[in-house]
Formats: sequence, structure tokens, C-alpha cells
Amino acid sequence: MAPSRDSLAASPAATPCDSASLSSSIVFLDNGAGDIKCARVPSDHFSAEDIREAVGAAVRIPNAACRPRVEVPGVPRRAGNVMYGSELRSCRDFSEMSFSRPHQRGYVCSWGLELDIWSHLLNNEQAVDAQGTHRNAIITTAPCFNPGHMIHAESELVFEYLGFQRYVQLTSQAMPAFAASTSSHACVVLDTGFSFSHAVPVIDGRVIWRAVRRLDLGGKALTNQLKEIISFRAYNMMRDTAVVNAIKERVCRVSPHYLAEIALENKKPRSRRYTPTPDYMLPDATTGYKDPLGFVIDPANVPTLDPTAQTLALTNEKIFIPELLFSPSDIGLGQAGVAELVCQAVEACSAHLPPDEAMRLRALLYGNVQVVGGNSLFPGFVKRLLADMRPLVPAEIKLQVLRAPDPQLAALEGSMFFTQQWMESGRPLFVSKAEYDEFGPNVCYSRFQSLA
Amino acid sequence: MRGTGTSEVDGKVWRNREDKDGSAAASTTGSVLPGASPASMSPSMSPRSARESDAAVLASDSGVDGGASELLTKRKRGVREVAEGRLWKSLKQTLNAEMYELVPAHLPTYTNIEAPPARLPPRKYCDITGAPTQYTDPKTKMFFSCTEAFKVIRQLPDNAVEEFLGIRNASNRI
Repeated sequence: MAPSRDSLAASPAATPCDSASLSSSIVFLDNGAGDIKCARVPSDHFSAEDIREAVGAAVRIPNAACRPRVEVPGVPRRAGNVMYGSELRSCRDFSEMSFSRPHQRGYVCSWGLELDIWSHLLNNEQAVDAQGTHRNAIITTAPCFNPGHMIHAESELVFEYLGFQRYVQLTSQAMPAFAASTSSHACVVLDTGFSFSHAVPVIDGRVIWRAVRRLDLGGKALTNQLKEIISFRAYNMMRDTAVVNAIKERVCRVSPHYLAEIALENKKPRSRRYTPTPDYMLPDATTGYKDPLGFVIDPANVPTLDPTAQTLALTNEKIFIPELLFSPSDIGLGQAGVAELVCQAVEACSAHLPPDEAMRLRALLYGNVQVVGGNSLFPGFVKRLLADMRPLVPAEIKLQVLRAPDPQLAALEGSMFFTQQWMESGRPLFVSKAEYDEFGPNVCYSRFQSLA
Repeated sequence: MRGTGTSEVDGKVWRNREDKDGSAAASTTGSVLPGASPASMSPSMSPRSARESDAAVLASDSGVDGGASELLTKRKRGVREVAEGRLWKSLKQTLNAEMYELVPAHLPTYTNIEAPPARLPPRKYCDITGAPTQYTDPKTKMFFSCTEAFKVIRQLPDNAVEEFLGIRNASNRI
């Protein structure tokens, strides 16, 4: 089953779980600020085949409490009228849906809200099905440099509120380095996600922490920027986050050479400049709900469109929005773009080494740049990244940029491979409930530090 | 009782750390955490081998945050408080509590891994039309792409110029 990119509509195949496998299963929960990606492996000893199967059945839900504009039938009544992950599949109207997220700038702050979302996920998702008595082990992820307070709070959530017996928290940016298709001695993981983008060098399974670099731009900022531009030029869509997010994902693309494309448009005579054809059909609550988030208009169908239909024509926003990842200074952010981010991370790794060793390390790292995260799904992202990085990389080094087969599930997959490798080597991975009861959350903090 | 085996100083739980003189502090129940301490320990801690901690510090950069943020505020209240409508700490409060400014500058923390600015200078866009441009008006310091935009700029009142510049953080007014 090809995983749907859109977590609002994603529906995994329901896998029947028998109680024997449930009691020993491990739940993997990639706790992203945008979406939660969750999967379950049947037991402690799992193979690559199990991983493939688990990732194929992975659940993706927005990591938010979603409040629709009107009540959705079939959803239990709650304070604040909110819906969680699986309930969104029965929602047909995403206009003005507001998302309350437990995350702030990529780190979980509202643990009460996160508890609500996770409980709902674990109780209601068939593919995960870690109900009550079967809460054996959970592996979560968190961004780099997760403050100790967050680790404490999460361990409390997991052990005392969700009732798991074993728990470990991994660094989500480091995990793609362990996925089977990317295994190598050294790589740089470029994770462009919802809140930010990190360039994380991983050498021999260990993250080089001092060389990690962060760009504070992610899908959230891009969607907000697109909302502002559309609201200024066309319709006021400041509250339609879900729809604008869908527009961003479906219409925007990365331009191979941004300034040249803009200049090309300006070379046309003024009368023929920026004559936009409608790109996107906005969702319509009164007609048939072809897609509750709207759909991209095929240029061939334009003459046959209903003239009263609400369509959106995007001109340079299509290329301007993803361009921000490569050139954050365009909105006044004084940070380097993702291409330079990777280069800065590599240079920081090799800065203290003698020149020939530094060059060898650079060659290893530049030869294996792994791109993960939702933003890498923009058409033309990898090609543009290569083109932007090539002048910054020494000429004799072979530069190779690889995008994970499913960039959004790469951290989940990687965490499964990491766990498999770690458990095979016999080192202690999980913090057990007994340890937590005796030593408190500090044991979590120290154990997780030793993992990477 | 949660947190046995850790020492309390001023209500804060201190992790394994060495003070500025090199003599190390008490061990917690967890493993030795490499990383320097931002402040000295109270004399009630039992010392660990200073050499051991030094070696640990020099040997690796490992750790979730490079072993840097070891100052953990004692959690007097927990998730339980959610039911009573307790407000959780915002990210800003959490980060302030981490006291990154006391961590030695060479250790990576959330605050110092931010990407520095790009090597190439930032691109200029016309303040009126939004097109990429290379021309700056020497009098007002606004960017313009064509003669019409230039005429508009020269006809703008002063406060409008300040606002345009303020949009891209180039205004002289504080």
C-alpha cells in the first residue's frame, strides 16, 4: 500500500492482532510536531521483513487536537469539540479547522494535550492497538537537544499514565542513519520537518553533537507564509490551515533556478506577465466533496470548469514558498539555507582534524547525504539541493544526495533498525518500570544520553 | 520516593558533574555524564575521581545534548496536575531553566547550534514591486527595480519610508 502523504486522509490497513503478539509487542511512536507516525512490531526479536511490514502499516495522524468549524457526526462529544487522529477520517469539512498542538517550536510543552493525543492513538488505532493490558514497550523520538524537563515529563507520561513497562526515547534526526538502505559508516542526515531543519552528522552510529546545525524553518512556517500571501492576494485563508497546507503540498515545487525563473516571467511584455491559470479548486461544502481538501486542476480541464467555482491561481508562490528553505534571508531570517546547513555541519565535523584526514572525512560525509522529512517531498528538492551544494563542496569530492524512499517514515523505520541492532548487541536499551519506580526519571535521562 | 541517590542543592537535583576546581561531585544512580558543570557543588557531596571525570569530558562529545544541560529542576509536581488545570512550562521557560548561558561555549546546546548566516549576501527584492533587484536608493536606502518604483519611493512621506524599511528590519528608528 503506497503511503498517503496527507496525514488527514491516511488510513492504514487494519491488521488483526492476536493477544499473544500484543503482549510482547513494541510500539514505535515517532513524535513529530506535525504528525505522529506510529507502528508496532510483534515482539522483541524482529527481522527486516517485520520492519517492512510494520512501516507499511504505519499510522500517521496529526499531532494536534483538531477543532472543526462545525461538529462532525459520529465523533464523541468532548470539551472543546476536538477531534484526534483517526476521527479525522470521517471529517468532510476542513475549512477553518484549528489545530492545538502540544509542541512549541518543535519541542513538546503541553504534556496534558500530548497525553490526550497519545491515549487516543493507542486506544483507537487498530494497527497499533496497544490497549490497557498489552502495554509492553514503547519507543518514542524527540528532536536533538531535548531538554531534561521534557524527558522527565515524557517518562512520567509513559510509565504512570499510559502504563507501559519499558520505555526509551531516541533522537529522531539520527534515526534515518540506521535504516537498512542507508547503512554506511558516515552520513549526514538532513531532516527538514514541520518545525525546523537539522543537519546531523552520524559517524559509526554516533551523532557528532557539536556539528549539528539547525535552521528554524519548516513546513509550519512555509504554510503560514503561504496563508499570508494567499490572504493578501486572493481569499482570506488565514484560518484555513489544513486547506492551505494541502495546497502547499500539492502545488508548490522547488525551482531549479529561482531568480532566472522570476526574470523569465519579467521578460514577457507587461500585458502577458503573470496571467495565471487557476491551479487549485478550493473545497466546496455544498457540492459533492470530491476531496475535502480541494484538488489540483488539470490545465486541460480549465475551459470546462464551472465559472462560479472558487479556484485559486498561484503565480510565483508556487516556487517562492519552497525557495525559503534554500534562502531564508528572503523573509529576513538570518540563517543559512538547507544546502549550506549541511555544509556547515560537515565543516564543523572536520574542523579540528589535520587537512588530509579532514578531506577524507568530508568525502565520506558528502558522499552520503540522507534527506528525510516532509519538506523533501517538494518536486525538485533533491535536484536543487545538489545544485546548491555542489559549488560549496570541494571539486574532488563526490557529492551524493539521497532521499529516503518515504521521507516521512524514515525516522520511524530508522528507529526500528536501530532498536534491532542495539538489542542484538545485548546492550541495555529500555528503561523498565522497575528502574523508573526505584530511581525516578533521572535514570531515563542518563540512559538516553548513552544511546547516541 | 523518587530521585533517591541524587543530591539536592537549593531544591535542584544535580547530576554528575565536576566543579571548576576539577574535583568531582557525587554520582547519581545513572552513569557518569561527561560535561562540565556550570557551578561548584556543595561540600556535602562525596567526591569522585577527578581524573576519571576529566577523561570522560575529553574523550567524548556524546550525550543527548552533549552532556551540557544537566541542571534539572526538581519536579515538585507532575502530570497529575493536568487534572487541576495546571499550566505547563512554555518552551521559553524550559530553555531558561536549562541555563545554557552557564555552559562552556564549546559544548553544543539548543541555543548555540543555530545555523549561522549564509556566506552569500542576502538577496534584495524591490520594496514596491517585490521583484529581485540590485538597485538601492541612496537617499532612503530602499530597494527599487524600475523607474516607476523609484518615482513612488521619492514621493513617499517619511513615516512610510520608515515602515517599508521596518518590514525588513532595516529601519534606523529603534
